[in-house]
Amino acid sequence: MLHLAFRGLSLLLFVLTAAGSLPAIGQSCNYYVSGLVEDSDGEVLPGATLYIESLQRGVVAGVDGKFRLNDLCAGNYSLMIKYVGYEDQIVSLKVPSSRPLVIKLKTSPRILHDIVIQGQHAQKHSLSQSASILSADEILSRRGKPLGEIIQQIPGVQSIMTGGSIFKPVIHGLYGQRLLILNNGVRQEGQQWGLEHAPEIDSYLASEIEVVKGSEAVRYGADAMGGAIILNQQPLEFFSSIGGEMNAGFSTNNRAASFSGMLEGGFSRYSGWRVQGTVKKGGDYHAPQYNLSNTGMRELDMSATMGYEKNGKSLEIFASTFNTEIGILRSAHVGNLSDLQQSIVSEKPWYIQDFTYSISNPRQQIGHHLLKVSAATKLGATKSLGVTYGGQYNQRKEYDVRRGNQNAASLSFDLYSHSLDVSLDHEHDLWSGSIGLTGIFKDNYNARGTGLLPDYAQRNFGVFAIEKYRKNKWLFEGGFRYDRQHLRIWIFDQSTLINPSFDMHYFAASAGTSFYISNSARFSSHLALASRPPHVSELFSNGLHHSAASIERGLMIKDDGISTNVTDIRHERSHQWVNAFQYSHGGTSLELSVYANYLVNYVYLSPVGTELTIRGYFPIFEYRQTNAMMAGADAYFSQALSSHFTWLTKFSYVMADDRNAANRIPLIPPPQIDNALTYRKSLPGKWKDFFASLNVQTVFQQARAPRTILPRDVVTEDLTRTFDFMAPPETYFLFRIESGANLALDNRDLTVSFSVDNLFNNSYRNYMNRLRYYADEVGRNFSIRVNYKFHSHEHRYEENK
Amino acid sequence: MKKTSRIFPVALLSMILLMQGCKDHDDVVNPVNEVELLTTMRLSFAKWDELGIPSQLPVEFIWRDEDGSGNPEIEVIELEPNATYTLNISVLDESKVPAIEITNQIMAEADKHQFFFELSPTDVLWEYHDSDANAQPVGLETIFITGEPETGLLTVILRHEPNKSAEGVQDGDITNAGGETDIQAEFPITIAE
Repeated sequence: MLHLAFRGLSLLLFVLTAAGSLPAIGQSCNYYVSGLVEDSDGEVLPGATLYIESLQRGVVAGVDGKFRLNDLCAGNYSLMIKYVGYEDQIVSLKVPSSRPLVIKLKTSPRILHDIVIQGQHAQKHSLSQSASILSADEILSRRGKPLGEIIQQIPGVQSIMTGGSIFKPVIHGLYGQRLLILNNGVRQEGQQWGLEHAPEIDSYLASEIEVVKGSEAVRYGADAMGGAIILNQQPLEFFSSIGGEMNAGFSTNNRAASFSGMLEGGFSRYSGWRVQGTVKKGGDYHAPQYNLSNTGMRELDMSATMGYEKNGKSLEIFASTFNTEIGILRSAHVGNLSDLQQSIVSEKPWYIQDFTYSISNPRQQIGHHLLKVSAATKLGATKSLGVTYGGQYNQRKEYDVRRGNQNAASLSFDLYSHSLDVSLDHEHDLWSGSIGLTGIFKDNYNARGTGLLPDYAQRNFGVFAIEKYRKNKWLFEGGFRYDRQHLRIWIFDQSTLINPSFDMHYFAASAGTSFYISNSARFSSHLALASRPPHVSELFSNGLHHSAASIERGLMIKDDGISTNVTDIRHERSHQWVNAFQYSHGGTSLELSVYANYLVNYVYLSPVGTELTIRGYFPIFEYRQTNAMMAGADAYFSQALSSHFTWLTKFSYVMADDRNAANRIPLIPPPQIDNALTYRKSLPGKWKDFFASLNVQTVFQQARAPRTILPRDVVTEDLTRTFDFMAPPETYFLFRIESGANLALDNRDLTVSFSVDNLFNNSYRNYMNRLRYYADEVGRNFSIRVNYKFHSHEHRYEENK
Repeated sequence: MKKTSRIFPVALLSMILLMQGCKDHDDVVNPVNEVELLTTMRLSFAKWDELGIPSQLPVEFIWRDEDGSGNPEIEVIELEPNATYTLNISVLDESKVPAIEITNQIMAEADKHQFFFELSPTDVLWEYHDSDANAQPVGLETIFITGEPETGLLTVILRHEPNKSAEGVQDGDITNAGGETDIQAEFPITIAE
């Protein structure tokens, strides 16, 4: 995707430079130079940028790798060729020239954090958005970790955690139903409504992760109101021999091991396959002073892909299965408010046992199974049509500590979904864009005897149009989307089954611009409006949420019963303005985004009172709506200090302000700064690219957290304003060191890295961890990761086969 | 395109299989708030006669929250002064028909349960009168000895998976017990003639 992204800038550069080039007077200036850009294996590189510095002129190679520079005057030039992931190359050029040039680029040994330049491919995000791409290297340094933990490396992206294995992404303060995960082209349909529900995805699957920090609701619908996480697999390559990759990772803290393997090959020149699998197992995590009992996990994932591509037509079939079981800290299972009070005042969790791999209740058992079929075809020179079907089955079971049968789930959901996306993309001269439609069928079932969320059937239909216009250094874009949702639920009011249905309509619109200040600097500004009806869980949750020891009530659960009136559903509307500045030149790279988001009817979950049961007092949590302003900034700055040392600073800040009252909005990430110093050196011999880095993370206290009311005081205090049971944790510092090197052999590549997280074994608590009431965070952790790739590129199918 | 034509039927078949997994929404079963709801606790106090034999006609006091809605019915415990009682506790789930006797489940997992009693009258003494397989107390049966007339509160607490070996726990001190609270029910108590 980086390639495509780069091509976007390249085209722009071309547009803006071509316009400015005038033939020199008095010379013959109607020569042209043509050629082909490919890699060292002879694979064409589509969309490489070619640039003649002295003329300030450039061109972008086509999809077939071919290029042509027109209107050249006779003379000698030096031509610079750039392609992301490859070393820059300068070629001397003599005009006139009789032969086409063949330019071979060498793979760049290590991609530094390149300036993120948006592409113009139809399935990509808006060009004026603030987005970050995690390169293969950055993913590699966190390989084996949950997806949410991997993407936390991006400034502005944080997580709501439940222990050490459950990471729920938060982008610019927004989470849950407002973030879309696009897994290999399919929108992930899981159970993202729960705070302790993490994305159901094998993090080894993605070779590249892209995070859009802003609304992508026009393209993807209301699910992407707060941003999108786009995971991409390596495109299939159709080799006649088998290539592959193996990953292994080991961590000391929870004595975990993970293995992931991938094999790929071709059936013919036009079709190929890939199979992949991951297995992970970890035991209890350790806080510096005690064992975090019952925090083990295991995971087993598999996937298979088949692809076909010929003459502009392509077909891909992808199937995957994700299965995990995660233990939840035993001492986080509390019976009532008195137990919670006890947990908060005591230094240690009440349940501490020796290390074990076995997982007891409370625990989660999750399965996610996906089938994707996508097809695309070119329609003439300027248009292409793509169709993607995604069928998904997500099963979530939550088990609690209970008497009797430990294998009876307290909560059990089966979510089936089918989605169909059709998009027609066009690109003509300075205009490009796409129109599309989306249909989604979702059905959720509860297992017998479990409640909280009602059974529901949701039917969505959406249409959108996006158009972009490029002119000189400017890019403009705009889009519009309409969605219709039909929702039917099956819920018990008192003890009568009712099944009301609701029809809802909502819109999204966006406009943005991007200005290329120079070759290496870009400013963009994006305005987005989006609205969404609250999710079923936010509307109709009703019951005891065991794992949270709380009673949860949705927006439609009124004092006099369940509302079935569609006018009681107040849509959440976001008005977002995101500005981004990106600069990359020489050894300096800077990305800065500043944003403001005014949310009307922002939905959040907050404790509101207590209920007296035979267990004692129970907290009641209600979904509430308020008007909120979320504004903030995040920055990424890297500077080469010398040929070996690089400095990196990352910063994230979000401020959430409740406009309605003196309320504070819960679960907003605190400010955070990361500073890192990296040393890189090419070693003599076969080992190369040695690096060592030290990273210091500072997480500040959340100064704008809701006020604190201890559980023992909840019964007597006035609870109209939002509150939390425990004060936000103090500022803490975490040190991480990492080192690694790469061994490149013929057709094989071995990367080994070693890291220590929480180097000084600090005891601390994290405001964004839901288990902070009960226990400290994970202590020091040593990890080793090994990545081995093998490819036999010489065994290509012959052209004439 | 031959390959494509072969792949498509496979894909279609898988799609259909996925769809067939879908069930019917109309089988929805009334969800209960809790797989295991505790609604009722019955305390039966059997007064000892002069020979130390508990009465066959114990007095009963109930704490009941039948639908789990949070408006419990709580009876006032009335005991005689300077008397000895055997207290037997039973716990029920009356939200189901017929009601489920939770006491049996507690007995079956006696080693994972223990009752504790907190009394605001200072003149009432109590001690455990039963034990689990490890000879540690459970508290389904206890002895209560009342003193002079007074009024106050009795809180009955049932802990699930307590640490029965921790200091003081076998003597009825909840401080180090841990575990999670299954029951924490408060009764007004009156000691009077």
